[in-house]
Amino acid sequence: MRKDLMRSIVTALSVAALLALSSTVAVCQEPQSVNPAGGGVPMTSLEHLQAKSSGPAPRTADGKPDLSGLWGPDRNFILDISAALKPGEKLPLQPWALKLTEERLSKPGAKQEDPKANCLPDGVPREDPFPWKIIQTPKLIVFLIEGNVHTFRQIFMDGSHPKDLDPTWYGDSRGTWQGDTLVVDTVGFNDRTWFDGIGHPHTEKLHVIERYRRPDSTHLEFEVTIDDSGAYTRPFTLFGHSPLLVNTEIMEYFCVENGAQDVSHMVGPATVGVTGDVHR
Amino acid sequence: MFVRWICRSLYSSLVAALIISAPFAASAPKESQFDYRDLSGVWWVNAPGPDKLFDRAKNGDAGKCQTCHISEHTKPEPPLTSWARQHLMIQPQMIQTKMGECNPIGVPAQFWYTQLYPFEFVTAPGRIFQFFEKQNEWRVIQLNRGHPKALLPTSMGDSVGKWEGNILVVDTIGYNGRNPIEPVGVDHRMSPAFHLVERWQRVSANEIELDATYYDAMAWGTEPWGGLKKKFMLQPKMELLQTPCSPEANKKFDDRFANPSVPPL
Repeated sequence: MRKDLMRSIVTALSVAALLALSSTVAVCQEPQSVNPAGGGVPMTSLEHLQAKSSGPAPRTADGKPDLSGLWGPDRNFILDISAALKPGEKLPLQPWALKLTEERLSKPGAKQEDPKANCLPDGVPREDPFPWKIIQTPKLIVFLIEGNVHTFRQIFMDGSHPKDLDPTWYGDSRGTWQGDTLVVDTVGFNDRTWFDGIGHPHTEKLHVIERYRRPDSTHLEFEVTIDDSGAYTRPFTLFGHSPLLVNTEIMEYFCVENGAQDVSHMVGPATVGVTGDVHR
Repeated sequence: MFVRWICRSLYSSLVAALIISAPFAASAPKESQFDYRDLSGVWWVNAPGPDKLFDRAKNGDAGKCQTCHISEHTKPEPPLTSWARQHLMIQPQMIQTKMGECNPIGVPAQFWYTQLYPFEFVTAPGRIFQFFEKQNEWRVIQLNRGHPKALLPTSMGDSVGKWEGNILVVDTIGYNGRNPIEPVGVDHRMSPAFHLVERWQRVSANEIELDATYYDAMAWGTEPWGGLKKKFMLQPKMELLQTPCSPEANKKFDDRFANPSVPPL
């Protein structure tokens, strides 16, 4: 009987140990979604990584909509921003800006002057076909950019534009909340970026106002109003959407490893017209 | 009557004291009002200066930049293995070229640049982001996981952090072995086995300290290279400038700070 009791105790302890061990393994095991690169799963398809189920937009402790998250790109902000206009609208280019855009489209070798092809920053509002991330704090919102030069863009939530701004690639961005909309006002751009792959230009007079809303947990909507009296005859507004991406993370990408040698491979014009028509 | 006079005087004095002290309450955090585990903010090596980088250089420590041309370790580097001498040495003429090519800098090399450029910690749930003004690089320190088993080597490596008391210990592995360890003073690259351990401690409301140790089994065997200690001051009014890499920006930097023949400002 004593042997039976001992056997029962040993069996019970063994079972308990196994349960404890399996629980420990379950807790300590890396989540399946961790990327060997240090982030999410390898990115084979952004559509595949879009969040499926949606709910109300999360909020921060101070009651503001929380825009934090990893967001997919909007393809209308990559090749030709005309695609982001309302249907029927055209980009109101001044004659010199239209001529320059046509040259960038047709002149041999002009594409090699694209700042992006030379690993220089994209500026605003040009996007890459890669994710981007929003980090939101009460005083600073940061956009992390995976592609292009793998950098970050700062939106300061306190203070106003400094008086003596040095022109920069991303300008100086100051944000405020208007209800549930983040309004970002940016001035102080240099004139060295292209708005898109087509080559739509801008000048240092560029003034951009962006409005970001998160209508639900898995979508980000934004409007970008471009006001540049040096290149466009009137302000115009672009409309964008980004889906929330899950089970992945920003991956490391440095243009310098690929970009410089790619310049020599860029030949030929693009296939989209410069009049503002969108070929769909 | 006398009591009422005393009370009225005392009350007036207290109100006056509050009014006088109110403006000072809006400045940097008081010693008793900060969280040791909150590293958030812009940090730089010395006193704050004007916004513009080259103006800062005239007024702060970077204006003297006595250490711009040498490594900052207080302990000597361990001897290199023979393998490292064959595979990791950087030819002197490559140093300028690397800077001109806008290659990633990464850590720990970015710590050397903090003599001239500030950085910022931004805290998010489960992670801390570190933004470097130099070349506008950034990295994430994961607080909610360990290193993945299969790491794709990267320039920044994979950084995980944990709190040991009030010290944030950051462990970084998974380098691709392409980066210099420090821009000057170290004549070889890191190997893919490079392992960086940083200990960040907020020692006061306005000061944090970094104590970094390098390990590289392929370069130094089992002997670590410690002795990199730096102090940073909180810069409440400073915002990081945009300094993305470009050939002209790098040449400006080289001419001003990295050329040994150019005397300190």
